[in-house]
Amino acid sequence: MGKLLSLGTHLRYPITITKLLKKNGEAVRKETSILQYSYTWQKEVGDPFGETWKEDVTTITDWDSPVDGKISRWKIKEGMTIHSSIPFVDVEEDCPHSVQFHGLCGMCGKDMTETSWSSSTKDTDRAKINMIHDQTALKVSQDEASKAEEELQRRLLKHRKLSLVVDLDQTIIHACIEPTVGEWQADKNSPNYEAVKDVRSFQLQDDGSRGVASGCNYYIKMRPGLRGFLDKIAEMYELHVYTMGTRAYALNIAKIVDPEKRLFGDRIISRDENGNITQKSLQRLFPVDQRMVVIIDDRSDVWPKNRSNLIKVHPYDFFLGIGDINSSFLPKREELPKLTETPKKKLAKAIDLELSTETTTDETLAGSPEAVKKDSEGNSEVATPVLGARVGALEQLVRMSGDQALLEEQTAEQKIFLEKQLTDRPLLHMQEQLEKEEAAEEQGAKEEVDGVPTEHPHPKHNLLKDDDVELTYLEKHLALVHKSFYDEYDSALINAQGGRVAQLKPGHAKKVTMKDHAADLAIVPDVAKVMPRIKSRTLEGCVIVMSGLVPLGVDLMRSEIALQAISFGAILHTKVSSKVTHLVASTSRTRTTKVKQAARREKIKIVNQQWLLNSMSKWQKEDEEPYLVHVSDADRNRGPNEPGSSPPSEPHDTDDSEMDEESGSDEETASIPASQEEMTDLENVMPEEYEEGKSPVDNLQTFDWGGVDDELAEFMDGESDSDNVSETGSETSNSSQRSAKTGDKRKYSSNQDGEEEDSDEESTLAKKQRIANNRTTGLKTVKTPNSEASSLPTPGDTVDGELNKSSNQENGDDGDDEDFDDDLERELMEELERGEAEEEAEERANGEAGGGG
Amino acid sequence: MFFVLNLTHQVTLHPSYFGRNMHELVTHKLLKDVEGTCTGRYYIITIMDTVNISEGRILPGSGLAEFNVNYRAVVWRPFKGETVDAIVTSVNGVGFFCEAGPLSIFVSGHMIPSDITFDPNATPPQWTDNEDSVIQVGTHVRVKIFGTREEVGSIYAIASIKEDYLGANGCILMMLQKELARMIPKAQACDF
Repeated sequence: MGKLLSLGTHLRYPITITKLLKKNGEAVRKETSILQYSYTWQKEVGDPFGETWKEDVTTITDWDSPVDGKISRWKIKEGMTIHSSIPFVDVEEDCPHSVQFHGLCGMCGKDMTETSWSSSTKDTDRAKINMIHDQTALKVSQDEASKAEEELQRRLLKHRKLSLVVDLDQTIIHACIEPTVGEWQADKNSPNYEAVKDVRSFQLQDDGSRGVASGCNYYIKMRPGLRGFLDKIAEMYELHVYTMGTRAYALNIAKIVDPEKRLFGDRIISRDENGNITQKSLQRLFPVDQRMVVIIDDRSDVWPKNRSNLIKVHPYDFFLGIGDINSSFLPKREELPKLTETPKKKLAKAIDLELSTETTTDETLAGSPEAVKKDSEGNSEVATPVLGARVGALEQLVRMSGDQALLEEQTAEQKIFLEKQLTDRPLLHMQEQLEKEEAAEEQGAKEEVDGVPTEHPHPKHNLLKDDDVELTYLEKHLALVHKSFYDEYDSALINAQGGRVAQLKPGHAKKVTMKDHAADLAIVPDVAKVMPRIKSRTLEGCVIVMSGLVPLGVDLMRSEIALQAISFGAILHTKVSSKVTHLVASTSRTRTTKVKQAARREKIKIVNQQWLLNSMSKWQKEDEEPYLVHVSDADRNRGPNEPGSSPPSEPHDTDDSEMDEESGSDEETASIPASQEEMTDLENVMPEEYEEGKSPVDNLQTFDWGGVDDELAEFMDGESDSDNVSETGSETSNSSQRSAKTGDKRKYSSNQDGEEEDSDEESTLAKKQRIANNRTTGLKTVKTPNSEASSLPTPGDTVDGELNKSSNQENGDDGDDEDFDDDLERELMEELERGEAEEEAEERANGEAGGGG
Repeated sequence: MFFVLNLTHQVTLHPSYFGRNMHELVTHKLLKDVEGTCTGRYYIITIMDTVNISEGRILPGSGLAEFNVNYRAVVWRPFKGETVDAIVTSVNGVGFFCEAGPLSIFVSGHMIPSDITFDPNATPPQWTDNEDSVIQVGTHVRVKIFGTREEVGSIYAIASIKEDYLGANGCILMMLQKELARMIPKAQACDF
């Protein structure tokens, strides 16, 4: 273990070596001198008469060894002058201190936390890598880590395996603590008995304080086919568990999933050992080399550094509306709009929301459960993802500052979340409501002829369904990855081991001769390259435009779904053009501008998001036929911005940001640059109209441009005025500290009102303006102030715009509420003041009385 | 190594407990407070008896009564060079962890004889020489402490099994048996 010692920067260079105290091969102890050197410096001296001058002084000093060991070679000679810190001696250390446990060297037993004058670096810094699953106190050095990893890789190659890191919650199991599950399990007549009969449960004893939730039962549902899946996979992969639950939780799950410890062994890492509460990292387990590691997880956002090793699994959601019980610490999941909603799902969403609002929006809502309830009922029609994404971003921002208080807050949140499950029993409510609804449905079924096609294939009204098939696909994918990896490895091996190619290529030959074992590791392919290659074949050649899947204000290219689609080889565009092959539209919003644009091109297949999801889940381009979105003939034929195209009026369409766009006039009057996407859309609209031969530009030949300018200027002024008014108005009414959300809502709605007033004249104007925008000359100058002056350009506001419908609905109540609150507050304040005044008066009176007495 | 020490501890008692059986309560509280704790230098294994309980003194402000209690206790302080019996709690490629009573000890791979190697494929994973010496979770091992580090409220230790008569217990018995057989011929019948 040779170590080069440097002189250090703190010496007064230049120095002259006067004597080497130890010979080559001699043992040195820490803190003993091994070298003498001299340096000259200026000393200020004086005589008794107060005069001072500087004199050159030469001092001889010892240099002490910072390590124990044996000198193997001096690199300097006596009499040399040295000008800077250079490595000067090679010392063979007694102990490299490369394994440390709680600051103790695991090899020599010395205390590593001790520091002395002779050493410039801490010994604890020599082993910093934490790579053991169940320990945080044990650290190893870089060398040790790469050695261990090399061994691991060699072993895996020998057995033709790879490493697989498995997430627990919602990937291979689904857990909840809802007591209803236990009751259903005990009751054979329960409609859900079939589904929950093989649910396993355990209690966590040693798991800190969880308030009400401590000592409760955890119900664990394994994903269908899990046993067989793991058995098969274990032949190809060495399995690791990596969960965001606590250690006790992880161990209990492992006991259920793998009672004989055959699959996972002790390779279990939990939140307690992770070292980071919001992210997972392969580097924690494989610090040096992640070439042979595959991850399966239901969330890709927790693996920011290892996306290419990740197979994203569709989350397993067995206990509806429960979600991931261990996700309180993670950023909120980006959700997609749900597929066409059966009442059951809507119900689940509502309750999901109820739970999530409880946990996410803290101050205003968590305090009063009634407020939550009211809020969630009101919002159940509003898109959950919008809320979730916004709060998620906020949380993430806060988390960046990362402090202890937040952690505690989140722990508290989790506690609340768990308690909520225990006391509120969302599943029970859902089941009850489901039964009620179905009863009502049956009655109404006869009258309903061609209404919404809501089918109920489950005759027993069971809420929980055990129909997940994800694991079968997953097994195929993992087998495929394994096969491709080893195919590549084998061919590389043949090449490297003196195949003809290897002989021809001098580079390869050199590698092999270098060292046998180093060679076969050098040719190991990288899963992070192999897997994306396979995946990218899935949607190769598909040019996809998404509509209504990503909430406004979220950068499309950074959204979860987009990143995934790209990783599967799709090319994502933001606007419909001739290159586009697929338009993926949300099922709940089939009449967006993009859909209409796409509908007029025969080539573009308009499919719902399930097509994309299924394709990505199966790693195979699905046949589009079953997923085609029904597009009304009207949309196929008519231009998108034709006045009079009536806005859709389904109830759950309200989350549609693009709805505004459809009605045309509204959107463009305000000329909200809602997002990049929308802007480009607007521009893209124009060529379509030319094609159809009814370009409005034709009319422009006889157009009075000066008039437009004036009108536009006038309009701009007018609008900004009205906006200012409405904004200040809402601000003042917001003075009582309501949640920001309500505030935004109100602001928006008042804007709406303002717009509606002028909408008549503006609709024509907007059109002119749009035309003007499209022209290359002259009026460009108008465009700039226009977009600047438009008063609602912030993305935050436009996001809130999506809430507009509900805010309209709620507005009345809300306003009343707020007024009421205001009044109450005022009254209280008055009361208080009066009380204080009285007290003061009383005191004064007393004081006077006392003084008098 | 175990010691009997005379120690003192200050016990505070809430006013609601003032009464006839106060001394009993103080002793009880002492046991609860002190027994099984680690001072950073040693573990207090058990309290033998209380030697003296001082008169209570009311603390100004809070009203709690404070007693100085002298007691005798058995304490254990792990020393460098001490040989202890321990139970393996966790095994990994770098070494294994074991517990000698309250003390958590790490034995690194460098402190394990080179013929005993890590076998990650076994269930459960183990350190083994492919003969009778198998170290896995739950194995009783005898280890020699090589270094200790004391912090407030906790002690950590590094140990070795790289000497004779150290390691998995089954293995030690075998060795002893062989040794005995060498010294006293025909002692094979000796039953352990």
